[in-house]
Amino acid sequence: MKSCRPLLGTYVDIRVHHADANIALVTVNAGFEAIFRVQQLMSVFDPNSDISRINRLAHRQSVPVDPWTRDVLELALDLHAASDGLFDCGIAPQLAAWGLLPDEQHEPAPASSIANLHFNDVGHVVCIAPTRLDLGGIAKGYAVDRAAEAILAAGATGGVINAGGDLRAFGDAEEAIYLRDPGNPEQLRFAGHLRDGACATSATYYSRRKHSGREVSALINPRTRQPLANRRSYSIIAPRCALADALTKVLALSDNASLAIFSRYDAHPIILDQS
Amino acid sequence: MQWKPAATLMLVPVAALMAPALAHAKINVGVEEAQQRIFPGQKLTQNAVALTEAQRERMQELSSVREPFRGERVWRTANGDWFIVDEVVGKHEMVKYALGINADGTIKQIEIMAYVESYGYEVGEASWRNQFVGKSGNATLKLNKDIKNISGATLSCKHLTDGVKRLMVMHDLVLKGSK
Amino acid sequence: MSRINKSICALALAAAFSQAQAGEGSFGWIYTLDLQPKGTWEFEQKLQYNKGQAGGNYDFWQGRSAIEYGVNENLQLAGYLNTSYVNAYRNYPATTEFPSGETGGWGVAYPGDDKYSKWRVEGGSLEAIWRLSNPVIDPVGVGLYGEVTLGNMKDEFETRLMLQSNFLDDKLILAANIVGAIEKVKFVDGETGPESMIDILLGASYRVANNWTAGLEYRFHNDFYGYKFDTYTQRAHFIGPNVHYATKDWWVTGAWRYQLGGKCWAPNDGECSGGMVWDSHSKNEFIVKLGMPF
Repeated sequence: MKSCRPLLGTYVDIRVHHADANIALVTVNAGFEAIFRVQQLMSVFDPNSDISRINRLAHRQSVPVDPWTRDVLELALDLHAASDGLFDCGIAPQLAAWGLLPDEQHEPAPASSIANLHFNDVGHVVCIAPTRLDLGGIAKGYAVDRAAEAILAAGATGGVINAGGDLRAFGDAEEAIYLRDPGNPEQLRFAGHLRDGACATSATYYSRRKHSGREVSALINPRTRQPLANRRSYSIIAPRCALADALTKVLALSDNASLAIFSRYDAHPIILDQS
Repeated sequence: MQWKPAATLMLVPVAALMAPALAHAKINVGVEEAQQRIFPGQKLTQNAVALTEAQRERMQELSSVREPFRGERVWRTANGDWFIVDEVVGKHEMVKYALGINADGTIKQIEIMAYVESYGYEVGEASWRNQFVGKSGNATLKLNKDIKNISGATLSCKHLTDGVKRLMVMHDLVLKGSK
Repeated sequence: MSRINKSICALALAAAFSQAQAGEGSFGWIYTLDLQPKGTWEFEQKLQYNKGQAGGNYDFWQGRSAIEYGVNENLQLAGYLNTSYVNAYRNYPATTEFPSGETGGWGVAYPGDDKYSKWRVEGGSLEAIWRLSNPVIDPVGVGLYGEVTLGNMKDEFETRLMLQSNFLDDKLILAANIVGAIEKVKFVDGETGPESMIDILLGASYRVANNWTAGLEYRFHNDFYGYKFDTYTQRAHFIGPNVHYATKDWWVTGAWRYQLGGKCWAPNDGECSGGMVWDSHSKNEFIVKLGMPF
C-alpha cells in the first residue's frame, strides 16, 4: 500500500509490502509517526525543537536533548571530522541572510560551526560559541531511516520511502533508481537497482533563487561561505539515508567523487553534469 | 545494502516515468526493465518470428484479437524461456505488456509496460497479474472465468486476457517447436 | 503490493492528479453503457445549439451541467442544472395575423412578430442508468435509463432502453436508444399541455486512432398529444456525424444533426412548413459535451 503526506518541507511518500492491507496501514502510520517526531525534534522552524533551543541557548547553558537528536548530532560531528570540515550543519546564518531559512531575532554567530558543539558528562549539548545549527542536510535522511525501522518493526516485509528525493528501500523491496538530469530536470537517468539502501541527491536546480541580483543556492561551501552555482547534481547511494543525505553535501562541495570518506561509509557517489 | 549500478547513465524522459507509484498517472516501463522483472539476471536474445497468414488467422480465431502482432518483439533466454512484447486496444490508448513463458510452456509472469487510462491501474498490481502465472496453452483464459475483472477497466482487462491467450496460441503454433 | 517499483531520486512529488471519466459519451445524443466506475465522480457540461427554422432567425441554446456518480458497478446517478437561451425573430411562416412572419417556436413565450430573446435557468433533472449487461463482455449490452426533469418550460419523465454492441476489439460501437417520454408543457398563462414522445436513436462510432472516435447518429422523432400517446402530432428524421476525443483526464464530444424532413398532423399552426418540423426543432442542431473527473 502507498501513502503520501506533506512533512519535512516536502512530500513524503511511503510504500510498504504486506499481504494484509490493515497491517500495511498500521505500518505506514508507524513510519509517518517516526518522521513527525524527527520533524518536531529537529526543525529550525519550530521554536521549541531541540535544535531551536540549542541555537538560542547552548552557548550560555547546557541543553538537554532527545536521544534521537543526539544520534544525529553525533553523526554530524563524525562527518564533520571525516570530511575535514566540508560537512557542517552550523552554517545556518548564511542561509538566513539569503532568505532560505526563517530569520529570527538571534545574536550574531560569526564563528558558527558544529565544531563548537559537544556533549557534557550528562549528555546535554553545550556550545563554546554562539552557533546556529540547521540539520536540513541530514535530519531528513535520518527521519527516513527511523521511519523504515518503525515500519519493519510494525511487521511489514519491506517498502520504500521517498522524502522529496531522499529515498530508502528496505526489507525485500528493490527499487530502480532514476536521477534527474541537472541541465534539464525533465530528463532522467537510470542509475541502477537498489535493495536495503538509500539514495539522496543534492543539486542546485530546486532551491536556486535570485538574491540581490545574484543567483544563490542552498548549498554553501563552509570554507569560503560562498554558494555553489554550477549545474551539476550530486547523488550518493549509501546504506542509510542519513549518510546519503549528508554525504551529498560533501560530494557537492568537494566536487570530487574519489574522497576517502565515501568508501569509509560504504557510499557510492554519482556526479551528473548537465548534458 | 545491495547496489547494482546501471552500465551507463542512459537518459530517460521524465514523462516516461513520472508517477505510476506517485500519481496513478500512467504506467510506462521499458523493454529492458520488463525483461529484468520477468527474467532477472538473465541474458535475452532477440528471436524475431515471421508468422504465416494461416498462423495469424488461427491466433485471431482462438483469441478474437485483431490488432496485428509484431514478430520482432520476441526474445529468448539461454534456458529456452520466451519473452514477448505485445499491444492490445485500451480504453483510450494502446496497452503494452510483456509476457514471460517458461521453457515448459507455462506462463512465468506478465508485466504491464504502458497503461495510460482514466481508471483500472490495478492491472499493474501483482495480485491481478499473478492470475496468469502457471497457466499453459491449454487454458481457456477468459475474463470473468479464469481471470478476474477490475472495476472501471473491463475493456483493458478483457483485451489483456485475450492478448495473453493469443500469445499462448502463438507459442503453441510457432515458438514451442523452434529450437 | 507496489504498482511499479520505480523511484525518482531528487524529485519533489507532483500532487496526485487522479482519474478521469468513464461515464464517457462518444455520441452526441445517444447514451452508451459506459458508466462511472463505483465511487467515482465526473463533471459534465453539455451545450446544445438549435439553429434555423422556416425563416428569420431562430437560435436556441441549452446548457446542461451535470455531476455523475457511480453508485456501484452497474448503477450511475446524475444530477443536472438546466439553462437555456432563445433568440427568435419571425422564424415561423407568415399568417394572416403576422403577414411578415411569426416569431414563435420552443422558448418563445407568446406569439408575435417582434424579436424575442430570453435567458432562463430552466430547472433541474435527476437521472439514473442501470446496466443489465456489459457490451464489452456480453454480445449485447442492455441498460435502462430514467430521468425526471422539473423546469419552468416543462416537467418531464423520460425513459430509455439502451442497447449496445461492440465489434473489432471494441473499436466499433453500434448503439441504439429507444426513448419514451411524457411531458407537461407549461405556458405563460399558467395553462399546461400534456404531451408524449417516442424517439429511436441509432448510431455507430469507430475508433479511428488512439483517443479519437468518429461516427454517425440518426434520430427518428415522434410527438403525441396527451400523456398516453393519444394523438400523433408530428414526426421528423435527423442524421449527422459525431467526433469524440478522450484522454485519461478529460474528454470532449462534438456532434451535428441535420433535419432530413418531417411532418405534422395537428395542430397546424406554423409548427411545420416546407416538409420540416419546427417547434423545439430546427434545421441544424449542434451539441458539444465536455467531461472531467474530479
